[in-house]
Amino acid sequence: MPLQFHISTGSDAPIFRQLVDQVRKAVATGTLVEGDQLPSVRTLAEQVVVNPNTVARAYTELVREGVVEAQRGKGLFVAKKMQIFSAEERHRRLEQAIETFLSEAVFLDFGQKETLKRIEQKWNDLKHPKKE
Amino acid sequence: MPDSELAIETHGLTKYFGSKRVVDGLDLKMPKGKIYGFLGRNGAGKSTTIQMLLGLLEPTEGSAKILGFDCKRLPSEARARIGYLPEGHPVYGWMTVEECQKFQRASYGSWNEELFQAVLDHFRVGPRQKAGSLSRGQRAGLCLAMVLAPEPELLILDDPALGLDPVTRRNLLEAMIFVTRKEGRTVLFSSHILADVERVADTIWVLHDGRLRASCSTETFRQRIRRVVLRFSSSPPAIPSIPGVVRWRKKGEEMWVTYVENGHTTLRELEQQLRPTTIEDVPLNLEDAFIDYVSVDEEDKTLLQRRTL
Amino acid sequence: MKVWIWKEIRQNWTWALLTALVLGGALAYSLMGHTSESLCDRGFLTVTTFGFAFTGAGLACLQLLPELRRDDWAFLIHRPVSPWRILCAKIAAGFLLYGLATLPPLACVSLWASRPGFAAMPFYWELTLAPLADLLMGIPFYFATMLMILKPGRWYGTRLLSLGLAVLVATWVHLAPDFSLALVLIVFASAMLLAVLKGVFFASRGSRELNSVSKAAWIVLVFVTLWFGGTQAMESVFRKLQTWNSSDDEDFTPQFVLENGKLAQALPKKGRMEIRDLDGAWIRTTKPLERLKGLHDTLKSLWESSPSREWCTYREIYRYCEWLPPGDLNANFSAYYDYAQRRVLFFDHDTKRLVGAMGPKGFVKDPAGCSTFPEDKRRFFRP
Repeated sequence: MPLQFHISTGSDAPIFRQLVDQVRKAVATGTLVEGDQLPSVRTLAEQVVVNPNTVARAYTELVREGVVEAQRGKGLFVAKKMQIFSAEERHRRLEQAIETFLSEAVFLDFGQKETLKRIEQKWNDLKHPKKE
Repeated sequence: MPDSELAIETHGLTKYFGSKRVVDGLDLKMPKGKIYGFLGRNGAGKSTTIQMLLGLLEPTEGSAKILGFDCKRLPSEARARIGYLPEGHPVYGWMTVEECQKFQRASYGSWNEELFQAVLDHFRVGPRQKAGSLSRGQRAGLCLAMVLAPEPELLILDDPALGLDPVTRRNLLEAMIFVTRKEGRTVLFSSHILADVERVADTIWVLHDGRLRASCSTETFRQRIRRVVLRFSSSPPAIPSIPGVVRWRKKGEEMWVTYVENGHTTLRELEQQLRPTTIEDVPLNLEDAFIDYVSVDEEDKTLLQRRTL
Repeated sequence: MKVWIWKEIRQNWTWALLTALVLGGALAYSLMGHTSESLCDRGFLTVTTFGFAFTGAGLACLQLLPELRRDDWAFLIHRPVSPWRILCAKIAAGFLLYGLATLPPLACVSLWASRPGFAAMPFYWELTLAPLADLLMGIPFYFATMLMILKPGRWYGTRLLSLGLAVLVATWVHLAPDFSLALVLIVFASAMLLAVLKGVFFASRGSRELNSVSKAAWIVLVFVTLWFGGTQAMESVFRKLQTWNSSDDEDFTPQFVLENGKLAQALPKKGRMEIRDLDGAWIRTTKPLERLKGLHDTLKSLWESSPSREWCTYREIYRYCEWLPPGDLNANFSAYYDYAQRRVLFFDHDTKRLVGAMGPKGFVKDPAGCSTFPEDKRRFFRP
């Protein structure tokens, strides 16, 4: 399993949410692909040193969002990419994320050109991660 | 809930030392199979409560049951099923590790020697070393091994991370999670280290001045305590007593308020009574939430409401 | 159980060894030089009285005090082993340690004192009974100190009560006429203290209810201590007042008493009684507060014609022999009348050895071949 989980305590995000985000990011960057198996609840709990119930909660959330699916008797696997949100919901979510991002960029005094360039760079990195 | 389902149950547990009330009317219900974090400031009554639960201290009032047995009269069979790691990791310093094993093993019927050795190896403790010459972390490992080897149903750790370095603390947490591998095993530990509690505890109990201030899951505690910043055009007014407000702080033209959420009523009250220019939600992590929840500030004294979550 | 005893012994054996050495030294030192009463020497018995009592008390402290801290106590008690067994193991180990600390020194010193040439006086193995009683007295002190450490009590008085009983019993052991009586007292006190200790051992921190047996023992202990202690105190006060009011040297009234089957007179002198035979020759001086048999008893005894030595306790050499004052004060020997052998034994002052014996038929060098006096016929000799 190439994916290493890191959680930090004392942050604003609860631990289960950090796990969820990390899995989602891994799926988004292609580190985890469809059909990859996630570690069992207990294995991950002992690896990261968190309560197994927290891991279970993260997994439940991931299943609910459709990022992973449970195969009976075998465990959790990364699901086929399915959009569970409606078109309106997708747009709304993106709008929200853009607003947060832009207000930060403006506050930090970045111009439009530079900001867009940065977005492009990041997009490329995400889609085509550099091979180690 | 039938009694056999509860690992610990107390009713109105109270303890006075002379005229000083150290534990005040505790009502606890602890179902089996989870990890409980016992939080509170120094002197809040955590150790006293644990001592009473183990029948080492007689309560002034109230009753307590552990694994269904009356705490005042714990029989040997109960003690065999409860593992207790006292604060400070006591051992007999003149014994070697091997002799400690012999001594401890003689008291218990069941003993998992593999587990004992595994824990010792993990903490790098050799069999011939004298217990008194072990480092703090190694001694913690030895005590932990001695407490885990009989494979108790209920594990009680009184401030186990006291004085330990981060690596040893992490090992301790791993051991706690390891214990829950078997169904129905319960762990209760008291701690000051919020990070540890955040990691492993299912439920937290917050003890303050001897009273139970919170008894809920870690997540609930974190969600229900919120902080907002109220901004005013001029100096903020004094806060009238609003139920749910835990702590407030004036900072120039701002007022930072920590409150317990209970269906938005507190927020609405704040809005109506103070009429700030803006209200902004501020993120709050577990440690800050806890600190605000149990600290008593001089200017805040009148506002502290005793609210249990 | 074995492991617990092993633990206690391993923890404390160095102390036992050290105490044995210290006690041995103290006992030997107290007997060195001139001793007129062998193992019943006052100085020696003082050492045994206090030495063994402190040893017993010290051992209790050593076994309990280091474990009293809250978390150490929890470590000891929270086990599927009943506290009673833990206490039993402590006590069993305690007895072994105490034996190790006290028996060898006493045995060695007794052996040393028994050798001919140690002192110019006969030696009786029964003389070891006196220090032995003190040694056994260490046991009630051991239990009493344990109780004192463990018993919860807001008022220190209740804590000291057990120690008070131990001191009281020690006094009785000193006054008891026979060793068997002293033994009974020691056993009784030990059993009582142990019964209370059983209930208290577990309840050391809280104010747990003692079980009914311990409660009963505690009540008896309190009652016995207060009643007899009070009576004892009163008695000694009265006696003190008596001797204070009694006349001093000049103005005296002799009292007739029975001294070893013979009529003698007792004259008060500075709080004690001087016993002289009817010719005025001095026999001995009593200890303060010692009771003497009055004339009534004297006549009764004479009628029954049996020797009465009841007021000679097992702690005095006079129970077994009697020093005869020589006619010539410069004589280089001491004469003792041995009650068992019914002979007079002579000891040389220089060599401190037995030089001969005397019976009605005269003096012989070999004591075995000496004639013996018949019973009841005691005459003081002035060779």
